[in-house]
Amino acid sequence: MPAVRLEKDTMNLKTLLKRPAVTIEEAAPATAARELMRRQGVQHLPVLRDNELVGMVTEHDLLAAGPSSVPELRAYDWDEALAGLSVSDVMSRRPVALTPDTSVADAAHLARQHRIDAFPVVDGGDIVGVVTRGDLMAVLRGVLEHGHPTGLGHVLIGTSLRAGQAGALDAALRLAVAAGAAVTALHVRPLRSWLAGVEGATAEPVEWVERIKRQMADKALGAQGREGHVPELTLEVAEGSIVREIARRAMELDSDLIVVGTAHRRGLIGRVGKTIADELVQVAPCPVLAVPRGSEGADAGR
Amino acid sequence: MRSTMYERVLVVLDGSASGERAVTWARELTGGSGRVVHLVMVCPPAVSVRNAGRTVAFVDQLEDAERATGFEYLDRVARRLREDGLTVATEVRVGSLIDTVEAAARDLAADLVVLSCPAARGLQCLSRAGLVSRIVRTISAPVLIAGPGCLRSA
Repeated sequence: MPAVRLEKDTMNLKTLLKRPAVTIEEAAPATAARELMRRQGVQHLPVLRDNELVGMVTEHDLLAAGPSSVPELRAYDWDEALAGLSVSDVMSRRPVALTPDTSVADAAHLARQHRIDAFPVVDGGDIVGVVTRGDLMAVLRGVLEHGHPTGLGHVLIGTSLRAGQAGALDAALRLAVAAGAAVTALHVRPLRSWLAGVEGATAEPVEWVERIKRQMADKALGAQGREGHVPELTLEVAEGSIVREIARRAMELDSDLIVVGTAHRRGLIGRVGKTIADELVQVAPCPVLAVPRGSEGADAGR
Repeated sequence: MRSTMYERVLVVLDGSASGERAVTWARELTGGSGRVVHLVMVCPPAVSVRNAGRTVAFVDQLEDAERATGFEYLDRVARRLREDGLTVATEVRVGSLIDTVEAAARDLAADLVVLSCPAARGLQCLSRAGLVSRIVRTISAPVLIAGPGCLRSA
């Protein structure tokens, strides 16, 4: 297993923040908190007073304010029981807030030590998200099952200079940056032994590799601009069957994802022909992401 | 913030364990909460059952039963994704795999299609030939496929 897959020292809460924080004002009715939780599918709301964090209200807090300890009865009379209460009546005060740079290990330690179910995450006074025990458990699962907290520790790109290449590189780098994965680009040259001795034949791959390197550097810089850091990039060149070489290297590198570009084929060839992606899917040790030509910039989210 | 993942993901399920592996990948690639995951189960068209010259089960009856079973299964899968804060829609469609995937992806304007492709046998090999290229050709969105050799979940 490559050493890059374990990133326990660099894994921080920023990686776990998957959505903007859903917050509520302390003067809001408790029923509004309940409705907001239901609508947004969350169980923890940071509570604000004049845009400052003053508490956390959880589904458990609302249930505890209900009329009965029997769950069915509590749910039945909930609205009535909460009707006269505001969020500040039921919330926990002075929550333990963390920053996006807090390490996951420290957060897990605090959660265990103080029996905290969820932390508001604050960056320069702004609430940027909530990290729950469930999020921390998901990291543990990723590490235990895959040796990487996000489950995406290594991405292998099958490169070429053919159509579709730019979109595949773009998608792979965006995913790698978002998940903190390392990237290996593998350029496979078809066997051309009959070219041996032909003048200029050996110069071609060198030029290709240089062009691919330039493409990768451009894309990596783009990713850096968007996300603030670049993934670890490696370029390898192999010779042989494209499908077999990519599958073999993915196995050796313990890749979590293979990304390949694919061109649109119209007409009869498009209807009956197979692409590299079609064949790769059958033999790859991990999922294959086939990125069509023309999807760069629009494919991997914004 | 994991902001660079996909936003409208179509996950095609067939009720198999390998299909559920695709779900875990969809969860990883959406970047989590707030994104839309559309779970579609594709059922092959039903054929009426006849006995002694009489129809004992009609196509619409059989397809309704398939739909009910399909929704029950999808609800179970959706519940797990909703716990991660994803917005999940479920749908059961009847038709051939590729045509149905194409139609669903177009309807949703999916920016990623996720499906599993278990080892095919017999006629299935023929029906799945060029699966990736046919879907990519039609919908112009990236396609993530967990093939028969892919043993891991995300």
